[in-house]
Amino acid sequence: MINLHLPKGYKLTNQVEAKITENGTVYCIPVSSRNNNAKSKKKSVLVVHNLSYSGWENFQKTQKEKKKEIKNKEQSKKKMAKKGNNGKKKDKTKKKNLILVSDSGEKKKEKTSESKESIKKRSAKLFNNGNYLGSFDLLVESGMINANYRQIAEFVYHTKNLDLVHKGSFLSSEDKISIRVLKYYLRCFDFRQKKVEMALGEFFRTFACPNESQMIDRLSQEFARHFYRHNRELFPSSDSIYVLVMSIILLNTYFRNTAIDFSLSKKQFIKNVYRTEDGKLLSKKLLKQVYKSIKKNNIFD
Amino acid sequence: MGKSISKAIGGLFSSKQEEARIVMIGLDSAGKTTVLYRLKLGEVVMTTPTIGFNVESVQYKNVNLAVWDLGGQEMVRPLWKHYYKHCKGIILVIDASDRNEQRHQEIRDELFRLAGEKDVKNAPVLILNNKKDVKGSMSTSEVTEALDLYELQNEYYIQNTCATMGTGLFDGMEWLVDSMNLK
Repeated sequence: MINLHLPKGYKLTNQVEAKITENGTVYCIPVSSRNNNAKSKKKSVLVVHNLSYSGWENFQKTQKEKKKEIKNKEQSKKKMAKKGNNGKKKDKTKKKNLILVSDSGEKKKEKTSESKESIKKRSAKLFNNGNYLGSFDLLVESGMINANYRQIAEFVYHTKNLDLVHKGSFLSSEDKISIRVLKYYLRCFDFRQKKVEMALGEFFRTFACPNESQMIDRLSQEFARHFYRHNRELFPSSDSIYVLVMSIILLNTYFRNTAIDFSLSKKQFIKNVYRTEDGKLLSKKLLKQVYKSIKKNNIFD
Repeated sequence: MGKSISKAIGGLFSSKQEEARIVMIGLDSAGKTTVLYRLKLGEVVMTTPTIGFNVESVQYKNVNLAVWDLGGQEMVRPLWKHYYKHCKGIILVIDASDRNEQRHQEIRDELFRLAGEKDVKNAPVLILNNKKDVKGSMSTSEVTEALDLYELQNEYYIQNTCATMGTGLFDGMEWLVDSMNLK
């Protein structure tokens, strides 16, 4: 279902800009052709992908219910996150419904590509101030990305000037949006034919890893799932990788944290892993090798 | 009685350094990291130097405490077992402003599971009722109720704290250090 909210007297043309909200409502913003309205009510093509942020901003100012909208948006976002898979499916159907996209004028395309960089910069700035949702909202509103987790994850992965500490705390947060984004964030990595510790280092180097155990736990679990996806032949299960990853991090704590003055021996390390059900499935040879490489090099540097 | 005598002696020979390992548990955003840094420096620091679990060595009186924040899914818990062996005390950080029963159940399970471990059976449990400055937060009796603490075998003490300000933390530590069965 799509609800069209057209300002009175305006028709749909390819000069109309539009904004799609999560609940499927399309807001149309008149651009320049104020005088051409009201005469014909013919259906015409709606340019959905050709959005400009400034147009939307102007439209927003004229809306009396601006504040209410923002509240609704937050609520619907929360709902979306709660619904999880259902929400995602709906997203897809929404997109299908919106294949009204026409070949718009080339001029317009140029205009949006010009502002792309500044939009990116602005959303990065929001992100670096800790306003993660605001940052993604801006991207969605400006049409840079669609409102799905994959594209948010790709933005987080590819944008270079994001603050690493904020990146880490966003990805490892218990927030449902974060959990979903983390899943897609990991899919940006190719772990095929890589050693666990190398892959783990590669992943952890892309942000500043928080030290709180629950945060490490979430990151490790998701890492294990993705690593297993790429290395099914080498490991019995993703759980065994998760156990291995947690013990690697524990090992790294022993070796690198200056607050600890005792160490973890190779014997104890293997014993630890073998205490767990899933760890028993790992070969001792692999564990010895992992121990050696963690002791020798700081894989996270 | 014996304990208080040894405490007094410990006070006399305060030059002697004691070592004690502490496990810190608590749910997400209860304020564990803040508590840890507060204890360590008296100031809240946001940077995280090493990748790994939160460990801080905290000097309190003549005791050097190594406080670990360990956690994870059920299946990885055996990984920490060797650590419990020398564990002398438990610090549980809870968010006093969070009245979600499911979360209480979660942290209660974790506490009782840890306290049931053979090696930590006698360790005193310091419960930091954190974020006490938030309006409508739980009182100590409400915490006792929510976590079924009367069923806990270990010695425990609930201390109201506000970790961001640092209030109450050192009173709690004083109790913990005094209650620990140090050699």
